[in-house]
Formats: sequence, structure tokens, C-alpha cells
Amino acid sequence: MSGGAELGFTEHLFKVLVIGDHKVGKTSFVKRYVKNQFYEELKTTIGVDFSMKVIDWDSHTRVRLQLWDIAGQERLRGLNRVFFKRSSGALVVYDMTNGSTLDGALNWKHELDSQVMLKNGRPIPAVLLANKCDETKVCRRNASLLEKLCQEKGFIGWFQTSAKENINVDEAAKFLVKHILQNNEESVKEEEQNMQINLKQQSKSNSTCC
Amino acid sequence: HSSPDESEDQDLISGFLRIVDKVWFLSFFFFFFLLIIIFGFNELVGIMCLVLFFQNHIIYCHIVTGGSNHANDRNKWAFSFNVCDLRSITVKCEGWSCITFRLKDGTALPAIHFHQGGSTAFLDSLRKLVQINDILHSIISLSNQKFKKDPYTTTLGGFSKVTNYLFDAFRVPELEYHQRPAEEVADLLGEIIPGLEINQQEEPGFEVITRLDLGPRPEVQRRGPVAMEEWAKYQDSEGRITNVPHLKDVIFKGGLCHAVRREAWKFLLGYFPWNSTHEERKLLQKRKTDEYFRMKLQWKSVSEEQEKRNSRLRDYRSLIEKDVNRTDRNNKFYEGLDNPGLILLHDILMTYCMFDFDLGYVQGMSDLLSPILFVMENEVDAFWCFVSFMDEMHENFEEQMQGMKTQLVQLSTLLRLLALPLCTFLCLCGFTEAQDSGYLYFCFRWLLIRFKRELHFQDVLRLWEVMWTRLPCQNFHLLVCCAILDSEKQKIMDRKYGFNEILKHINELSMKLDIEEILIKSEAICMQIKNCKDLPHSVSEILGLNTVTEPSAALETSEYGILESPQTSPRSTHRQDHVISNGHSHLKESTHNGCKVAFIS
Repeated sequence: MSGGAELGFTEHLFKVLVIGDHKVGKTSFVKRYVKNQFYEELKTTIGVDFSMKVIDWDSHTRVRLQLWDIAGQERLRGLNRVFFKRSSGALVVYDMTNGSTLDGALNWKHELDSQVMLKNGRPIPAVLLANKCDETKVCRRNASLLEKLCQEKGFIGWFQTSAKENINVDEAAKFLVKHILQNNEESVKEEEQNMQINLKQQSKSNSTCC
Repeated sequence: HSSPDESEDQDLISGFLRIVDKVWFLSFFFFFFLLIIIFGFNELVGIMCLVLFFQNHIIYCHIVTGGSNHANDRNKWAFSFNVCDLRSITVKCEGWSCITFRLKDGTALPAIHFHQGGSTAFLDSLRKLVQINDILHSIISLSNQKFKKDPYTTTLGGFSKVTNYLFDAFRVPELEYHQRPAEEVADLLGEIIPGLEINQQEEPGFEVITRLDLGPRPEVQRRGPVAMEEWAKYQDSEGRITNVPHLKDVIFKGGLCHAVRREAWKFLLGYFPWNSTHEERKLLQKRKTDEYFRMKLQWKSVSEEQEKRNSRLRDYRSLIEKDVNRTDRNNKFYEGLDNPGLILLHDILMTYCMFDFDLGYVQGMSDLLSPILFVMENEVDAFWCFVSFMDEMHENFEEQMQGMKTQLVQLSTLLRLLALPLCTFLCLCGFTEAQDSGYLYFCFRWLLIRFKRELHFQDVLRLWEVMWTRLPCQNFHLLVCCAILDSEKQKIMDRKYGFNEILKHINELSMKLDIEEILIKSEAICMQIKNCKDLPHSVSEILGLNTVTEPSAALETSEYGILESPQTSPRSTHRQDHVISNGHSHLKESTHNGCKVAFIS
């Protein structure tokens, strides 16, 4: 998913899924992140919506994030799996004011892991977002519970966010991108190693053939 | 595929092809190829590396990457053999090239499909290493065989048309990897069919084939919308609508003025019978009003305590409340905080849950109701018109989404006829992986809510009233999809879009489509299909065109076997399977044709 390097400058294109139950604020999160705006009256997503965010990560890296905002309703889910393909990371959103959506988020994570994985077989990096944190009070217990859940379910981390009040939106995305970039570097290295191993194997078989 | 009947499922394994020189170990990168092999159900992507050792006489097939637990499964496709054991190389053309190695002991190795080209380069390189003698030149007879079996090209007979077909089929896969100059494509073809002359000027690309098959696309004129005075002329003194077929025709051709819609939609949607009088309609409306409020009272009278014990009702209510707040809020009828339109939308959807509790409420239904309520401005009328519309759309929202799957499969059948190169292209982009519904998945929203999110609100009203005339054929909305895809196909293929890009591109067409242009094109396509004499049975089934059952029709059915078998109910699960098997058997069938065998001496 990464682009070519030119004079030491690299451009990456990553596909990031935004998933979670119905009405937890996925589209609002994306709009806040991409346009830095909050809309009270957004349409229900049918199928998928797309947004692009360009990040100048550092002086020699540019990241283009293709955000796939996927419809949350149960019945539409089966077909929506098609959208998971070739994604590099995921933001799994739940609504802090609605406890059942956390269970939903865990289901989404489970489904995500069963559908896509990195080349090395590990799950793709996913961040758990506890959205609408402006509407509820944060308590310690909640934090430790989320911490535990992250470890159990394989999230790389969690954030309390508010698309409405613009809390932690950039931070959460940045955290995910950092991990995606790391994975990307690792997989490049692994591929190089594989290539070397193959070459060795090939030269061995070559010599035996002669 | 070593044996087509080994298992039902097919899968793709993508990879590279390399020829490695033994001394310097230089690897020449050949192009991606996709290896279709009959396999398990899961998406398995591996990279296969075919290493050919010059003079070592070893052809070595190696799988490089892991990534899933199915490494063992994949390894069974790895192979290596001595070049001196190689008896023949078979090159087949089935929209792309496919190479099979056959060994002297009779073993046939798994076929390697060059979906994105490169087979010629591979063979060229092989030729440098070993002497290959072409022994089969009678390609034409083989090709003709193909056309007999291929329902979409039955009318083709002449030699030049064969050229067209192959030219067409060969060119598309190349597009994705790199655009080849036309001469080069001709060279490639010339190699497949020795002694063949290709006239590029007259027959550029795939358009030729569709036109040859279907005949020219007729010019279509649309007219202005039906105004109040015109509408009134169709009513007799007691209010019956006369000359309904003609009226439907003018509505199909131009739609309705907004003032006429409130009345006319009730007829179009079947809420009012065309032959009813004013009096009868008044009585009907009274009866329907009572029935509506009886059902409305049912959910209105559920106490909080009761609702606590009724999770389904609770869920429906919460979904409806959320969606009503997110439906067409920029439309005057629904904007602002306490707009009465919102309450009506909510109440009608809740009452619909009572009308059809099994279905209840599913996301997208508010989109279908909103334009109807906007036009009716009346709770009861809007409800019953919505009920009629939902009769048609019901299957889209059912648990298994059978309606959606069926439509996606039907659409792909139509596209095969209208834009085969696009289909081939889409297959290469990975749209075949979820074989049933993943294909053409980017049309999902179009179909689920009938273009409600793709067009401006006023244009949705126009499209829907045109479709409700049921003219000029069954499933006209699928031809609307075809018309849009027809306009976009060149862009998609020229820009070499991949899976993600195509989805994104189609999604972003939303609100950029011109309704009149689309309607003109859809109608033209319909006429074009109707004019075609040798229409595949599956296509006429979908469009409801074969009203006359001729003996030849029965013959045709048996000839195409399961693929074209007539379906009784579109709801049946089998339908989908049949059409899918259509696709595959078509594919397999064509593997027998257009092939060239080369023997190695």
C-alpha cells in the first residue's frame, strides 16, 4: 500500500476502516477528523462512505489515509464485509452513552480479525474509540475495564473521543497511523529477508542441480 | 485447474512468474498472473513463483508468502519438473491467456492464468531456451465451436468477427497492468492466431463486439412531463382513468409535473385501481384510513412497561428514531427541530412495523418513505403508497438480503451481454472473490434504495415515477445501473482502477448524475436488447421479454443447461446459484476453445 520513494521522500496510501454499531458517531468522527467540522444532522450511512485525509507525517513521509466509513446496522453487515479487504488499520467506535454498543464494537473487532490480517498473519492494528465522551462522565473503573478489554481483544489502544467537542480525534488517528507505519516498515523488512532466504535456497538447489 | 469437477469453489492465487538463468541467477520479472484453481472457500492469496532453470531442465514452482493457515493447502499446488520431461505447452485464450504444462508421462500441471498479460513474453523467453513447434493452426474451427456455445456471440460466424472477439478479450486484461499500443496487441493476437490479419482502424476495442451482437443502440427521445390538464383528459366523468397503456407510456417518456404527482402516484403504486370511480376511491380511502389508525393505535397504546418486555419493538423504535433524525434533513419538509414532517415519518414507519412485524424496520426504509410522504403530504395515503412500494422492495431488506443478492447476480448477467470487457476487468480487480454478492458490490446502495442517495431529490421523484409505469420491460432499474456503468466503464478501465478505487469512484458519482441522460440511455439499451434476435434466455428472463414460448426456446434452454434454466420465483435461493454457475460453466466451457497447442521438440 505504500508509494515509491523519490529523493528520500515516501508517500503511503493506507486504507483505514471506521466500524462500529449503528449511530455511535462513525461518520461524525470522520467528518471532524477530515473537515474539522461537526454536523448535527448527518445521513445514515448506507453501504460505505469515503473520505481522504492527507498527513505530512514528517519531512520525508506523506501519508494518505483513505477512510472507509461503513454502515453500522446489523442486517446490512453481512454484505459489508467486502469492504474490509486490503485495509491497513481500523477505528472501532462505540458510544459511551450506550453500553450495548461496546459489545457491538467487540463483535466488529472479532469480525475484522476473521476477515483481514497483515501479511505476517497478525491482526491489523485497531484502535477502540469511546465516542461521545462529552455526554458522559469519565470514571476510573471504566478506564481500567477498557484497558483490560484492549489487551484481551487485541486492540492496540483506546481513546475517549468526542467528535462534537473535538476531543482526542487527531490523537487517536495519529496513534493508529504510527502503528500502521511501523507495521509497514516491518513487513518491508520481512519481505527483504524472505527474498534473501529464497535466493539462498535457490542458489543451494542450483548448486545441487549442477 | 487440473480438473474442473474436483470441487465447487474456485479461488484466485496471485503471483509472479520468473525465469531464472542458472549461471547469473538473474530473475526476469514477468507480469502478475492470477492462478485460478479449484480450492477451498477462503480467500487465499499466495504468491507463486515459477522458476525455470535453463539447461538444468528444472521448472520449479515455488510459493513465497504465507499469511494464512492454509499454507499446506497451497503447497499442494507447487510443482517442479525436468524440462526434458515436458511434452507440451498448451496456450488457451479465454479472455486472458492460460498456459498448461503437460509432461511426457501424461501429467497435466495446474493451469496458470495470465489475467494481466505476459504470457507472450513468457513464451518468448521459453522459446529462447527450447525449440517450440507450433503444430496447431486450425484455430478458426476451434473458435467457431466457441461461438456456438457462447450465448452472447451466437450471431457471429465470419472470420473477422472471430478476430474481434479475441481482440477484445485479449486487450482488456492488458489494460490493468500497462496499456499496450494497438500494434503490440495485434502482434500478440497474430501469435495466437497465425496468419490472421487485424484491421485496427475499423474495429477499435470492445465496442465492436457489443454492437455486432446487439445491433446499433437506437436514438431515444424523451418528452416533457405530464401536466394537470393532460392528466385530466385521461379521466372519464366518473373519475375512471381511460387509455391506461397510453397514459403509462407518456409518463414513462416524460414523467409527471409535480402538481399531478399526489394523485397519479396513488395509481402508479397500485393504491388506487385505474378503473375505480371517484366514489369507489372515497370509500376505499375511508376503509384504508380506519385500517391505518387501527394499526397505529397498536403501537401507540403499548405502555412503557410492555415495551420493556418487547425487545423487538424497542429495537425497531430506537432504529426509527435515530434514522428519522437523519433522513433528508436539508429538505424543507423535514428540516428544523420540530418539523411535523419528522413526526409523520416516524409514525408511518412505526405503523409499518405493525403492518409487517417480521420485517419491522431496516436501515434504508426511511429513505424510501421520505419522497412518498413529501409528495402525498398525508399520513394515510403516504402509508399505503409506501406499503405498495415496499411490496416491491421487501426482499432487499430481508434477513438474508436475498433480494439484493439476486439483483446483483441479475445485473452481472446483463452486464455480460452489454459490457463484457468491463466484467472481465472487474474480475481481474478481485470482484470475484465473494462470488455471490461481492461481484458488482459497488451497486449495493443503488439497488437497496433505488438510487435515492445517488440523485437529487427531485430527480428521485422522476426516476421512481418512470419506473413505476413498469415500462418498457421488467427490472428496468437494472438497465438504469447498466446505463450508468456504461458511461463509467471507459474511465474505470482506462484509469486501471483497482477494487478500492472502483468502489470509491462509483460512490462518488452520487449527486453528479444527470437523470434525463440516464433515462435516455437506459431506454435505448432496452430497445437495443429487444431488437436482438438471439438473446440469451437468462437475459430475457430477467427483463421479462420472452412472453411467447416457442419450441426453439425450449431447445435453447436445454442447450445451455442449468445456467439458463427458467426460474419460477425470483425469491428462490436456487436462482442465484444457477446464474452463478452460469458464469463459471461459461468460463470452463470456453477453456475448450480458442486454444493453441505447442509441442516441444
